Amino acid sequence: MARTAESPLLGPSPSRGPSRVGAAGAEEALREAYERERQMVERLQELDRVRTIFVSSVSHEIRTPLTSILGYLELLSEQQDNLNEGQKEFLEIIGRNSQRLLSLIEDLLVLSRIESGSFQVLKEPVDIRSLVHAACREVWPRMRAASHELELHTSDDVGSVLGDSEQLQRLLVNLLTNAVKFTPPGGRIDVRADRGQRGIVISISDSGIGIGPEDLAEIFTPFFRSPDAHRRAIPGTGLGLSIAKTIVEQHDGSIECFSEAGKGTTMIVRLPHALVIRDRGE
Amino acid sequence: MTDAPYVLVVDDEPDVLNLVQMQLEKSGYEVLSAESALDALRLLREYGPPLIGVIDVAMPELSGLDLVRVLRGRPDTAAVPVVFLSARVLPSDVAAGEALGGSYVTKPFTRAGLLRAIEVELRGHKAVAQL
Repeated sequence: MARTAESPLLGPSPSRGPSRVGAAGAEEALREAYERERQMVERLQELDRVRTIFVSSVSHEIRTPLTSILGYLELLSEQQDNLNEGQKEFLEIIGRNSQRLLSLIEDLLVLSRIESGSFQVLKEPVDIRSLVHAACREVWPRMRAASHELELHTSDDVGSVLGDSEQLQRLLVNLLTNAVKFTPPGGRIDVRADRGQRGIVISISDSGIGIGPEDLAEIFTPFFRSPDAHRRAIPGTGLGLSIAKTIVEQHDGSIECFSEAGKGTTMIVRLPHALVIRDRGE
Repeated sequence: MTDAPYVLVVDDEPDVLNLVQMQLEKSGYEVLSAESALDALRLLREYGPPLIGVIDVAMPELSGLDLVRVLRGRPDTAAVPVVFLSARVLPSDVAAGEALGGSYVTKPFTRAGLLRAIEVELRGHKAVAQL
């Protein structure tokens, strides 16, 4: 039996070539679809905007009481002579936890700005050697407290890149802080910065607990915390590495992680040649 | 109360206002503090232009930025050095403060950080005055 073009279910078959009414209908449907899409994009942009404003208000509201907590703590800790050892330790704990709250708020604000696209890289010459040294200096008190050994090597010709020094320092501090946190006391952290064929390579290696293969794929996901980190009660927001990755990507670079459980971790950041500022006479 | 050069501190949060005042007095500055921009304007009428203003940004009624705009518009206070001390930390916030010719210190702050900003502003002011 020949198949009829018309079926009670499908209705009349479309005529060959659109009729004038059909073309107008298709155009109308397209316009409606476009309008729906436009409204959805607008709604998402509005949501993004509201979320950024919300996070920024939360940041402001939390910073205000933290200002009092940390400020009065500074005044109190200048009166150490009047305090016994137990009290000094309590003050130290309050300080440490307030700083942790501050880091959380800072991370949330950075991430929200990154996600809303308002995070912009300020391109200025950044001296890599000074950058690496400054980041190590910032993390040094924590390294020393954990009795880690730091090996720092920056090659003489490493030079400068065009980038945002504050964000690049945040990137290195995030990576170094992880190295410190995930390495048991008395470990070793190696930091290198070299100028390679295709740009600048900064590597941070530690002799820490490492990352298992199942977690390795997740470490750059926002708020991801490995079960190992939870079990060992290692503090963190789960935002550090997603921020690090975004900063690297904003600089057209890449970040890679090599690790094995129990054998330490190496993070490698590559900043492309295009960003490298050539030395005079090169 | 004072004829000596004073630091005008403005913050709507009493705990923070008290903290800044104590931190600065510990460093030898004479301080007059105001809980609002309007309060600050009253102090200015009474005691004349300060050595420097340490001013919060987000305050009800008149913001710290508005207060500095008022200062800039008056001949006797147009050149008063200003340090904004604010919990608003977005680059756009910092830029708004700097556009009014002030240094910008974010909260929470350390005494050393605040003093550094004050000294930088005072040095800059002196340099301009000597031109």
